[in-house]
Amino acid sequence: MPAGEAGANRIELPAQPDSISRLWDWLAGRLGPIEPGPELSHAIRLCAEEIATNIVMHAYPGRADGTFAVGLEADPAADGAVRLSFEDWGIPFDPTAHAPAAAAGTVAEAEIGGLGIPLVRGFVQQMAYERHGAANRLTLVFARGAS
Amino acid sequence: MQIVEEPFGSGIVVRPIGRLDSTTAPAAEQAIREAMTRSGHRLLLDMGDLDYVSSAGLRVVLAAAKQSNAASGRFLVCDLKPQVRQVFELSGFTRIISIVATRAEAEL
Repeated sequence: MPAGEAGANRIELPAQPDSISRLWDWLAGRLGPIEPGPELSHAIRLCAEEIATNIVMHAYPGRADGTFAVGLEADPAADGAVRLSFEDWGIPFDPTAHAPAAAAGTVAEAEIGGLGIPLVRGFVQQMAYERHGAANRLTLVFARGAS
Repeated sequence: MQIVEEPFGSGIVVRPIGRLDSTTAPAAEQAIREAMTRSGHRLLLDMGDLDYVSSAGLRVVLAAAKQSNAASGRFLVCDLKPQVRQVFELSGFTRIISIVATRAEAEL
């Protein structure tokens, strides 16, 4: 399917910073029929930004031609849980293996960076990763009615 | 993103309006860094008009706190909306950043 096709279950975007706002626009259109409510919408938008930003910044070092794909669907068989999936073909990276940093006790100790994945963990019910051939595949599952 | 700045107590209050995310954070970080310097490192960040903060926004807040700390200044955050507070809590920021409920409770 053509990248960015309106209404499609999946969008493929260049791994470039301006793809983040294109992803939000696409998500806004996709979220309408799913009717997630404000809290779940916020969680999905935030996790999409965090994961997509990581891909844009880190998946394709030294390359400008990388792309990534995002899918969003509600699963009627799982109480309408919402599944947000990412696929990229960059360097292997498993966010689920990214150990949460020890909580900093002071501003001076706190590190600028590494804040995104712990935040995603806080919002999702489930986070699953697989390396499939040359692809990183990450699926985030959001419970309906939970944030 | 629009950022409103005015004198407050012995320093400056900065009020970003809209979303503090990966697309707006670089400009916000620069504006806050410059305001911090002008304020003599006494700055209140009023988040009452921020609907959304991601980790890119948290980095801006942490950078401001570090800048103020390094100069033995004072940095406070006020008026977090519920979804912004949740992001602060999940990141442990509520433990390390000085947060007050409203601007009226902030002293610089």
